[in-house]
Amino acid sequence: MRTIRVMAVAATFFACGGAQSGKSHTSSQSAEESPLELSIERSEAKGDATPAPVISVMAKELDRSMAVLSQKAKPTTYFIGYQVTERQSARVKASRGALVSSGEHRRRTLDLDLRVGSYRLDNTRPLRGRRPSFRSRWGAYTSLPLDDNESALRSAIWLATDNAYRSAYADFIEVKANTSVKVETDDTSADFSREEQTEYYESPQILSIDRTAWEPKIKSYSSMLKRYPRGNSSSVRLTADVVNRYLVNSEGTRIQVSRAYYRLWFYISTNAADGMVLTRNESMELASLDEFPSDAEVRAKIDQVVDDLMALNKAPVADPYVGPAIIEGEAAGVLFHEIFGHRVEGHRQKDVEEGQTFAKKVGEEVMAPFIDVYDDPTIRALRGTLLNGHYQVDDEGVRSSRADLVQAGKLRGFLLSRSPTRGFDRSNGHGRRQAGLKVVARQGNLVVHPRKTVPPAELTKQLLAEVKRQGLPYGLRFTKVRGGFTTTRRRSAQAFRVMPVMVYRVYPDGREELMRGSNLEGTPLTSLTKILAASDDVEVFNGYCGAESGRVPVSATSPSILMEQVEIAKAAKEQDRPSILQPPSSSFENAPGAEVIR
Amino acid sequence: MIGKRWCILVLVFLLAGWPFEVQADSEDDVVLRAMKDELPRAMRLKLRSVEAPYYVGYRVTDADTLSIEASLGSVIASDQDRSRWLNISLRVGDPSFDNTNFSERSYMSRVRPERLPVEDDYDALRWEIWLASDDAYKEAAEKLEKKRAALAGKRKSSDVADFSKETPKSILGDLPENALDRAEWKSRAKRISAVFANRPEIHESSVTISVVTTTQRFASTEGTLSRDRRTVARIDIVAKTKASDGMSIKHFASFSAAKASDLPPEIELLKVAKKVADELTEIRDAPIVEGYMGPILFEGRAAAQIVQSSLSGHLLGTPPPKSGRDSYSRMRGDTELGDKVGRRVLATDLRIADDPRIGTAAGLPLVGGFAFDAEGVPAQPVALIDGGKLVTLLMSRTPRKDLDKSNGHARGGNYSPIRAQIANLIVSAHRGQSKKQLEGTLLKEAAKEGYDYALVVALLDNPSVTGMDREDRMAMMMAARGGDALSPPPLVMYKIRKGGKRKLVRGGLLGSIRLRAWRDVIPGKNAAVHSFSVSTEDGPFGMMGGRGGDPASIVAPELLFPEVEVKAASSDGHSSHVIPSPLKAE
Repeated sequence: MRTIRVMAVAATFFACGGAQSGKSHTSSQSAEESPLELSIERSEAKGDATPAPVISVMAKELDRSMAVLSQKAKPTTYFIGYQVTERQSARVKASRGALVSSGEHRRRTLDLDLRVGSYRLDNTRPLRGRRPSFRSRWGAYTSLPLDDNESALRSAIWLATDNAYRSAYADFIEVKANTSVKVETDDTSADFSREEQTEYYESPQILSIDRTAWEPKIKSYSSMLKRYPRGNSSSVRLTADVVNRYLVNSEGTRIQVSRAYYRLWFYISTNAADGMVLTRNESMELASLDEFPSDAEVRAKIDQVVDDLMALNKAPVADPYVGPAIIEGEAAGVLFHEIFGHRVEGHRQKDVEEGQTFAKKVGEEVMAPFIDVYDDPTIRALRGTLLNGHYQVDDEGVRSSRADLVQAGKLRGFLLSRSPTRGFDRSNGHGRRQAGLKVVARQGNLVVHPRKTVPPAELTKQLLAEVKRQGLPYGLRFTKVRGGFTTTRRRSAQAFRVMPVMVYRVYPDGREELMRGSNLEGTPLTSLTKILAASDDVEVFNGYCGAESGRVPVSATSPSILMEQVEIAKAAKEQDRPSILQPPSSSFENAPGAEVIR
Repeated sequence: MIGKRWCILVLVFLLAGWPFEVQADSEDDVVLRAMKDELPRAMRLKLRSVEAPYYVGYRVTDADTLSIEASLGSVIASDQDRSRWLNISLRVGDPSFDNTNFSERSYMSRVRPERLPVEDDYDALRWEIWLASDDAYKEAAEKLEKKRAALAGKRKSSDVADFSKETPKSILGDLPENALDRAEWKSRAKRISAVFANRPEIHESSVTISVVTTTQRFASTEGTLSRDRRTVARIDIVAKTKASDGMSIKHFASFSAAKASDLPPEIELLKVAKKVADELTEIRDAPIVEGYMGPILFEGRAAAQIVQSSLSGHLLGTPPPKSGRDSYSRMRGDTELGDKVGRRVLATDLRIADDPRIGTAAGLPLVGGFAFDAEGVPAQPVALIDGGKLVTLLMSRTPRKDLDKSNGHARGGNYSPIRAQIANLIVSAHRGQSKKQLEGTLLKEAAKEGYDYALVVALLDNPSVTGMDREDRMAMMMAARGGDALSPPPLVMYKIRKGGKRKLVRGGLLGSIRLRAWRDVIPGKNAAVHSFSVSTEDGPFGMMGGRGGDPASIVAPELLFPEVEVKAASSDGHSSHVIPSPLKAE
């Protein structure tokens, strides 16, 4: 049985995209106020394509259900939203030159949001004084026929609707009882926002991939990871996903959107001599398989991953440290995603079980006054790098829009789904989910945009000045991170942890030394106020974020930042020794006595 | 520095004494060669504080899966998948006391397989086997230390060993290619599922076809080098609806065969689907069964299903793992038959055997077979019950008191522990009563209890085929209250009256059938088969057909139990559909 008792919000980034492609120095700029140019590209889709047959089938069944449920059944249903997600996926994975798996899948699933009661009070209101149940997180989830057979589709939608009504009915009775016995909450906003009716149709895409042509290529890339000499696991994976979403709701909204994700992913992991697990991974986001990066570019990246792992294996273990640090763009993006992004998700401001770090701080200064932060899913690419968190319409049928979160260091707003929170009664198109789960407000493309920047060299200079001022032997530079997580519930500590991979000590003489085995930890409110400066080099971190509503694609863009103080703790170390035997090889087998026995 | 030279000596000894007789045939098999070549190296794994392994066994399983699901003439899923997995059995210590057969805190230790490349790439395979062996050795070393500490002072001279001694035997089976017309099976699934399309009274239906070809390879340091390929093809037809009072009811038919082409022909499957639909409609309109305590006749698939749910678990001899805490051992439960070898435990007319080597019994197709088991021991027929007396139990290489040899029935391994489990379990009667005699006896016995009718059960639910909703889970929990072995709810049940007249009834849950009840069972003559997925895991997962289960078949004749309780289904908790069906509306 799965428990979500703690409901820790875990945001796991699997890899970063565009560390190289997204990096761009504009070193001519001086340290004066100069809005950073991000060269933003937006989608050119007009939304005037032809609706697919499935839309009309969904609409028919919706009308039929509403006719019964909004009139004849008591309590009455005031809203039904159907979303059909059509996911076509292909995967090719290889390890050490051999194919590990290769396959394609296609699924069509139905997500259903059925609301009984009224916009003000409905069946979805969380029950106070109760732990969230399994059911409260999972929505109604049904597999649908892959073709457009009307009676088969309608039959499945009907059963799902009927079941959803019966559970909504039971939940609503509980909600009403719960509201009458518990004290008033201080946030008295409604349960569901009213939004405009929207019609928007993109052309659905079909995944077309010749796996047999890709297999040799992926195998050959995976052979390159063999260069790492010691015991290790490694793989290269190509993933292609086309997601067509069809959305119909009882407010008249009709949506048809399509998004394709192509990604090339490298991974290698080993145990250092003291047992510490070291991993390096990289990914490349592609707009399409036709725009595959050049062979040289891919090979350079793989070589880099292997070189990094070799360097890490030799690097000294980090000591606990409190002091100044430069967090480079990609790592800073993850940091902002964890310490800030998750805490400005709208529903967390309302849920009494949440820490509500920022709930009452709108208008107050929450970070350095030269920083703006916003989340804008309408951005397709930034400085030429595709952003993973791009979408036109969210999972509640609301057009995505830029959410201004921080302006000049002051908190301005939240990421909002159709769950209103005090002072914010409309969605800004950030309601997201993985198929099968319930929607909550999530990040899309988080952008940290400084109003004042310095060139990277100046940032290092400032770091060393700070090292000197604080009387420390060295400062730190974080360049690559593996991911991070944060806890936002009241029952747990309001803290975050980011797991860096590449961390350097920066000595006063300018020398930099790689180290391994450190975690960047802290509490959000303090950390955000410690930002001293930002540079003009911007990096994009592309990845996937996991939270209550599942795994969703996201990006985080940030310049490198200088922090007055960070805290690093030693990472938990696996006690396993490295492999006892040498790797299998013919030369070894002739000389068994040469083996080292530990 | 004690032992460097000594260790090298041991290595030289081990290498010299290597028990392989390399067979020309196995040399062509790249996978077997990689497994075999990595074995001597694994024997050299050694940490300072712990011994080197005394046994290493590699099992590599290739699974080629085709699955198609269709409903109302449309495909819902059509997947093809190919994967290769490695299971390592690495033993440190000695056969009398090693790292296995021990459970600390976890309910049952699970086996975690490693994924291997699907391609026959010798170097890549060896690399993965090497890394996995390294992990397995470190884990084994740690487990052995823990076991020594936990069982310190608890070991008795009467303790049974952890690993049985067996004579190694290699079996090199052919690897037949199984060509399958995927498009044809897809359209067949569509056509069969379309039978329900003009039946609006049936609310939910599906047809699932799966064809799984499994290639097993086994190599051990005892010198075993084996290979076998099997296919299980299966088709499930499921239909569900609601009665007028809101009670959910379901029905299914399921066929398994060793080849897709051996499944019933389409024309017959279309008839079966129609029959499922017709019967479900009849059941929907049938009255609810009243509470009952009296004789019940299980016939057809239900007879084999009742063997699965209330008897087969008692025939498994692998003892629960040793534990530092007695309460865990008790909780885990051992067969009640452990000390009854040679005694009468069932009705004298019953005979039970398990034979993984056969493909049919009484003309019925069996799918639980294999050439060698999960521990590389060759499959063998085992007589379990004769004249109602217990002959032996099904054994893996984990011995129990008085049963210190495997009889080739180890199964499991993919996320489930390796333990003895049934393969093809054949229940038969020495004499057996005819159908007419059985019905007569049934009514006579019922009359003694004051009933003017008796109950006949023809089909029990199989939740791994039909799925489980909230109502089903509640029903199972209710049935479990106060009982031991759980029986799935009856799906097809009749009231039979004098003259043999039958009338369908619906609802109702079977009370538990204890092992004792099997002493008074009266068997019939007409055998039926029930093929399903069996797991070596205890607890609810096992009962549900498990995760990562193995195919198994049970053949049984009708079984008349003199006293079984049927609890009337509660009329609460059901709810009818609020919205009428869209199929009906048009």
